[in-house]
Amino acid sequence: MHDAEPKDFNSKDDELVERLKSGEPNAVVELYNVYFNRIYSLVSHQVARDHDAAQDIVQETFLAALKSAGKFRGRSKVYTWLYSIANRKVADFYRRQKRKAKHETTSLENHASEPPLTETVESEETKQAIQKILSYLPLHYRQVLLLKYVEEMPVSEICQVVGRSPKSVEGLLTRARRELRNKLVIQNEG
Amino acid sequence: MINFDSEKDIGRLLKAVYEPVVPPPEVKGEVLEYLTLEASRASLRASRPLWERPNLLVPILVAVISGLIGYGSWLSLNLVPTLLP
Repeated sequence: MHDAEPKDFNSKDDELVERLKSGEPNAVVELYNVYFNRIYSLVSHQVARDHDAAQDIVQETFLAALKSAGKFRGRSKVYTWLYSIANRKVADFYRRQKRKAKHETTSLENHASEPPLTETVESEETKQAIQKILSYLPLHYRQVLLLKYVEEMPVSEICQVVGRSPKSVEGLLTRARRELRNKLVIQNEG
Repeated sequence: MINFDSEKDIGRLLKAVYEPVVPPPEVKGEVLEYLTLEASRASLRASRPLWERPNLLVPILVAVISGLIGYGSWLSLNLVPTLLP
């Protein structure tokens, strides 16, 4: 995803973080230019492409990064650090919208009228059906699935983003895949 | 055919569903403007003299006054009795 952005920024990242720590305003602009699209996309998927919510969360994420740059010790990559902030902001967003969160855990009966999944995921109808299924998964399941399969992050980095041990992340991934598989099978049989 | 047991297929399916979302240009501009403003405010706050930063000045004053009171008490207990006839 976002091919224009190189994946390995390590030396540039160190320099950027040092500039952020020293309070250089241009450093914020640079951080923003490099990571905005990726963070926006990640957040947008987690809030069902609600542009307003995504904008607020991304804004809060970069502001929090700006305020806590002094505490960043460089033990993780900058984008892993930003993802971890963004993920916490998404969780905060859902906490604030508890009613919506309740809606998320509603059973699949609510969309039993959806068409069965076809052989490929090419059609828009199929994609929408899968998106709906994904939206019924708990937020922490969706987050790890996104990081693992869409962002292609290794488990060691997912651990840093979600603040869990490797064993815990592996377990979470297994449960998330099982849950998704079960829901897909139910949908396909329906 | 999608194999729901295959990790590879699940990954392929998620990638197809979660295609990169491109932010609207106006969103990019608005967020950048906000952040630049906040960054310059933060650097302005950091460069203000001490007496204009109550969150730093107050603890420093409290520490200095406490130190003076403590020193005064120590003096009255240890030094003053030796000066008395």
